[in-house]
Amino acid sequence: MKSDYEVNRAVDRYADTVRRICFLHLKNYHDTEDIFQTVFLKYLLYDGEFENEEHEKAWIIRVAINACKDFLKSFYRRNIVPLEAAQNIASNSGTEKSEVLEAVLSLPKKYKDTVYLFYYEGYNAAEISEIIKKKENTVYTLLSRARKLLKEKLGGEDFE
Amino acid sequence: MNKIKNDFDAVRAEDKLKNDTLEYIYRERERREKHTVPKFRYAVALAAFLTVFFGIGGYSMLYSAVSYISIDVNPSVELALNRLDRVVKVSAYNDEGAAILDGMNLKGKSYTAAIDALFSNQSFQKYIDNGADVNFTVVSDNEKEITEGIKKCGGYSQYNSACHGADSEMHSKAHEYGISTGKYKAYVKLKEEGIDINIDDCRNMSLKQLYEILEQNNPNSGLEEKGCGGAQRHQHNKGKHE
Repeated sequence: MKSDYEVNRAVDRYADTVRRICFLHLKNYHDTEDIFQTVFLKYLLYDGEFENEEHEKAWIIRVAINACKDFLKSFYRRNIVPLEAAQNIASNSGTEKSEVLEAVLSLPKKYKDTVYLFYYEGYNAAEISEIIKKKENTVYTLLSRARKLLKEKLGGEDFE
Repeated sequence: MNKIKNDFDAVRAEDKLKNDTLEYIYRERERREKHTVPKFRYAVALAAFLTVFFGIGGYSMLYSAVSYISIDVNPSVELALNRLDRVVKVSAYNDEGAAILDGMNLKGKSYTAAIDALFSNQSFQKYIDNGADVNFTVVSDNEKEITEGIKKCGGYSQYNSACHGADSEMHSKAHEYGISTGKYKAYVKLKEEGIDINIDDCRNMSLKQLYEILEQNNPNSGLEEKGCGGAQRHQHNKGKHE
């Protein structure tokens, strides 16, 4: 198990990143809490070592993306609608969201991670393909299609 | 900066979220460690039995940690060794330790090679060149042999070094508190001397500072019978006392 010190450090370093990935996929704070616990518990129990911070970050991102995916697929999620979501009181919906963010969030889910990793985290297609485990060509295709969709949603306005 | 980057920047993890997550992780660690401590002792006994019964070789010999060497200067790191005295895992106990381990690959090395590598590491040298003490704490059934091996390392005699032993009980407790075994042992000694100090204080002080407090209180308590550098260090400090 990783030491408390290492876990503290990981939360300090990557909480914002994990929060953003949750922001892409989840609709309420409670679900985000769930994902945080899943991701950092995995980190605690991970016995491998990271070559460097970049390596560690990529690992966290992959775990977070997969955790969100699994969560959205799970039985619990499909059958139990949290009261919050039903009443549309969610931490996400409370805040003013820019047009650009709304557009990204409204993309089909297969594009969201790639868009985030490319435009926010600054990874290139090769690095993204390593993280989400898809072929590099697939990543290029996803990016170009996402760009098109975003342009349409933003009425031709430039977002890059 | 593109607009996406700009807008996403505003999305941050709430403090409550971070704190709640950390509390959850601490509880999970406690829960899991409660189960592993007794298993550790059982596993060592079982591994020893199987080794004798089936001869040398096998998974448990190569991958499970049976000995630990914690190294405290100001950086605080721990090497976990398998039955063949080779490093199977390294852990850092503070920022400085983590910075030093980053980019070092000590796994698979014999503990002496690992210690040599550490002493040759430039970042590590910066700490010991300033006259800081290097403290080794050994937790192992093989303590005597490992201690001898450590003392034979080039770096050991070159710098102000000391070597102590500790039992696995101390090691687990130290882990529970998230500090190195060396520091926990110092903490226990301080408490035995009736000194009012808590774990958090120890966490933030260097091992040298803790031993200084110990020596101020009782000049003989820091010394180890094993004749480690403790005796020499005492001589050194006498000159340096303010």
